[in-house]
Amino acid sequence: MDGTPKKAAEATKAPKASRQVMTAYRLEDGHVIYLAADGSWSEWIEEARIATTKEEADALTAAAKVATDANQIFETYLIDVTTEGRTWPVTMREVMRAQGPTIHPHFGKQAERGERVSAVANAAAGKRTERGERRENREG
Amino acid sequence: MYRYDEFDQVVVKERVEQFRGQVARRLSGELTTDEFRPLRLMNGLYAQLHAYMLRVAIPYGTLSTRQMHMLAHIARKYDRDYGHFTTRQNIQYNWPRLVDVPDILADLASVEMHAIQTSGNCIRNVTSDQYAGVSADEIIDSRIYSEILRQWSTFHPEFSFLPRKFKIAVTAAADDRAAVRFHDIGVIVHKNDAGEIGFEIMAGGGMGRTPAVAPTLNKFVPERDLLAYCEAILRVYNMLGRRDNLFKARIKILVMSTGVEAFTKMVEDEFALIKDSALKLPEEEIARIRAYFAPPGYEDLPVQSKALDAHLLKDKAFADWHSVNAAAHKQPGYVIATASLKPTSGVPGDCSSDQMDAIADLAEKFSLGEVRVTHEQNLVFPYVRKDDLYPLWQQFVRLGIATPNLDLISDIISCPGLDYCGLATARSIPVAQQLSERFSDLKRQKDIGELRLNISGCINACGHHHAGNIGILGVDKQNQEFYQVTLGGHDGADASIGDITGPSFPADKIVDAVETVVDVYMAQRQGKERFIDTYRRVGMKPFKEKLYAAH
Ligand code: HEM
Ligand code: SF4
Repeated sequence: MDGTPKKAAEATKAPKASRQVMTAYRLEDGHVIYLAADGSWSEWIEEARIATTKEEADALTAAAKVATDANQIFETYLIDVTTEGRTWPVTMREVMRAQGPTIHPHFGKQAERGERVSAVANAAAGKRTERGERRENREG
Repeated sequence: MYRYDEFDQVVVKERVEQFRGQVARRLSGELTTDEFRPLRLMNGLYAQLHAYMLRVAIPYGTLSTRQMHMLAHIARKYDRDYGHFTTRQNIQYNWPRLVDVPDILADLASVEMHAIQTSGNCIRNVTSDQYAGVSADEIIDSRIYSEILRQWSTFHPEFSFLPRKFKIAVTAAADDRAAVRFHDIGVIVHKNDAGEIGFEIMAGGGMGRTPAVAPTLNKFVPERDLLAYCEAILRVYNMLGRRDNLFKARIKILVMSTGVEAFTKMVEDEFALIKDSALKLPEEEIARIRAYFAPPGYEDLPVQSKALDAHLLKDKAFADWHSVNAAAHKQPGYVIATASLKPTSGVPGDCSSDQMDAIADLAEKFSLGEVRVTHEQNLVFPYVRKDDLYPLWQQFVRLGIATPNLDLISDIISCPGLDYCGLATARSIPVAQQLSERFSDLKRQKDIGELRLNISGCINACGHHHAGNIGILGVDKQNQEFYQVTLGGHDGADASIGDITGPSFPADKIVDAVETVVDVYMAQRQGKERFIDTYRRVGMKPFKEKLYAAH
């Protein structure tokens, strides 16, 4: 992202949640993509390949470098995900990237997924659950 | 209105073709990500949270009908059918594809527009009073000097790699509508007793993590010395501004660390050296630019319009809108009309392609072919005959841009926030939407009166929250959206930075918190006192007590 040093920190964070996926932007249109299980790059995080060990994470990084060098993608980094129910990011920022802007649901990915919920409501739901304060998930 | 001269036109067209080549070389791999990044930024192309983002310059916010139609065309053809007008009087497209950007730039060039200097550490788009040239309270059309500054700063070789970005705003009116004191350089046009034009020049204002109200360096720089004085400021900054720390690189930090007096002395010394150089503005040059902004072909009209007066009596909704969104014009029989891009539940500053086209048509019919973008993210029709105001308003209603909320609590400035922005810590637009719903009762808004509410999604403060009477800053607390509230910010002639009320509020409490602030104000205010005046009189205490009262 332009002018932000914070991305690097995110990318190198040790896989504490120990579930990570590789994300990037597609060069041609700049859209958010994820390295998929079959080695292709998908717009859908649900299709992402999940790394649970350091070795698997390194493999994702290596694959991202190949695609970067082939000028297909840019801005690659690993993100933490949960796999409860489905593969979904942990941080608000990444939920937003996975889903699209909450204010224009018909322009983002949620339109194609058929979702109407607030992305951040999801992130919050996940987080609060972790802390044991279950919150109603408004998805649907 | 100003039109690019041939020189500009040639250069802009060349730049488009250059960029076309650069994009092709990026796609083929000849240019790496890192090599390409500065090139795309030089052409206004950012990489944002979901996609690329293209920021198009609208010098001092002035658009012709042709240009507005082109902005609509671009949104429709290459983007997702809308654009976002920003607080820097520009427009942003949120979904352009890299492969299309050269074509977009070519389309823009065909109407004398571009995206140059909308990014990077250079002098950015010069902003100005949206009522320039038409307001009853101005000395002269401030766009004359904005344009002189624009020409000087465009492709200025010495200032294309400054320590950090640099923003200039100009006003010539008693009521500062351009927030000049929150800019790297602020310029206020004055006239002395001899009737000569001169400039009060301030430097070192800004938002961001270290907000600052720009101190005045010189109260009256003669007209011919405008560029020499600005150049002197830029030189001192270019030499001494910090390049080692991104957060300390803006000129405001330099002014703070050297102190205003020492900084002013350095500028004055430099100015003394260069004021008799080629930077001196010749009388003919000023006259040439002034001619671009010659008053349009006004009709001779009586001051009163019978048609207008009759509609005001007959139509209450129109009268309500008129009392808020129409402003006094210097030309008899004319009026300035502001179309609101802040409908209840809307996204501040967003405009659909169809709306843009319709607005362009209306400007052609009712405003001598011109529209202005305001830093509050609204659109101004500067040349409306009083006789035409009613039919124009009827069309505004049809288009959903007739919300009578100018300068009221729902006229919210909001940055894109986490919905779009890669730097955001929280969303800002949804908060703006909820607030506009909570305060949607227009009678209540009018009762509350002038109240500027600004929202930023992170400490960079693109949404001017420091300058809002009520400011809201989104923060991330352990992956939850929280919102800090500031009170007492103001961007007028007596500019001030807001004070933080205390601990931030969770997302589901922020709207209530704002309502509490408003309630305290209503209880405390004396007579017709504005929010800012009440706050300055009573201070933070009563607000804080109510906001953080134990439940
Ligand atoms: C969406 C992408 C954007 C990014 C990445 C971005 C980034 C930034 C950054 C990093 C700063 C702080 C600069 C500093 O303090 O040195 C800043 C300031 C600012 N930006 Fe943005 N911004 C974005 C969008 C906008 C928009 C949409 C507007 C207009 C609505 C805007 C208007 C401003 C203003 C007025 C300031 C504060 C004035 C100043 O001190 O420069 N920005 N922006
Ligand atoms: S204030 Fe922060 S979140 Fe808002 S646009 Fe600026 S950088 Fe993005």
